[in-house]
Amino acid sequence: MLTRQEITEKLKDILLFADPNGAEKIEKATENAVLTSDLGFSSVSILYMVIAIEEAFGIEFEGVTLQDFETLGDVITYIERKLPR
Amino acid sequence: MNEKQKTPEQRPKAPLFSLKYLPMDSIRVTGALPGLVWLRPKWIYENENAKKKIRGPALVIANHSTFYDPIYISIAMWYRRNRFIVKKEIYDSKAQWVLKAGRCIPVDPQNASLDTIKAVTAALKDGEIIDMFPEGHVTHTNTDLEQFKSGVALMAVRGKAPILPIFIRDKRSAWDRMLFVVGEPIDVVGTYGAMPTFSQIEEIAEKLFHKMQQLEKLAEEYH
Repeated sequence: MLTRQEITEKLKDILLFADPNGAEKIEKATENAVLTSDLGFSSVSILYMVIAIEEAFGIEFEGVTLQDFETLGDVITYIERKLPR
Repeated sequence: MNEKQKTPEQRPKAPLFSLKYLPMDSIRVTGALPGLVWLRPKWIYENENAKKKIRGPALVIANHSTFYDPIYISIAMWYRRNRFIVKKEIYDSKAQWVLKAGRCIPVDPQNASLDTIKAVTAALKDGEIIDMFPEGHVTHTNTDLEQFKSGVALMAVRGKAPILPIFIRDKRSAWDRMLFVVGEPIDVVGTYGAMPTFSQIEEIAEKLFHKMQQLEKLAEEYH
């Protein structure tokens, strides 16, 4: 099972691949970083991120809307909950 | 090789008659004759590649200046069953039973949802034709195209489908003919791969917008 720290690193790798132009912001981002205002993600970028997470972590986002993910920490918490224990 | 492993081109054609498609086909057939008589559509093509009929999946995009555009695009792509992406507020209205029967897929243009992307991706991977209007709403003008929503690019790359741009020029008078300018299919996956970067997604949407402007110019030059 991945630790929260490992999930964060893997998630940041996904984001760095998807948004190399925002590398500095992503590397410095804390769990409190707001996806839209701090990282500059659009709704399509967030969708892209969700799809990439599903493939990388082998999980499925169910019963959630994009509004449920305001910060990076919200995404990490969701992945943590969905990963098998 | 099972059905899932086959490419859309290798799969057998969809049946001509099927209960699954009955409501959809009824709408198409009912609208076809008056549509053809009144609109007297004319197709022109960007180049020779644009003339080839689409056999596999495709995301068909068009300008959206009137509420009748879904009918027009069905006529433009007469040889295939088309599924439409429809604004959620329209899908949730009293017309829902018709839209459901027509196998439309709801979308909130201001807030693209995961369910929409998944439904479109699944349909494209299944070899279907999905029609959408990337301006996101009816523009009520025949002159100015509005910037495209970048969700169109994400749907195409995830569905591994080419994008077929069609510019619709409405009748300018009762005696005029409806004009469809069909562009060459754009292979976004071949160019950008299945996982482009955020900026490439925006770049694809920008390129599609410019392509539509080129098709609009061809329509203006056609008499």
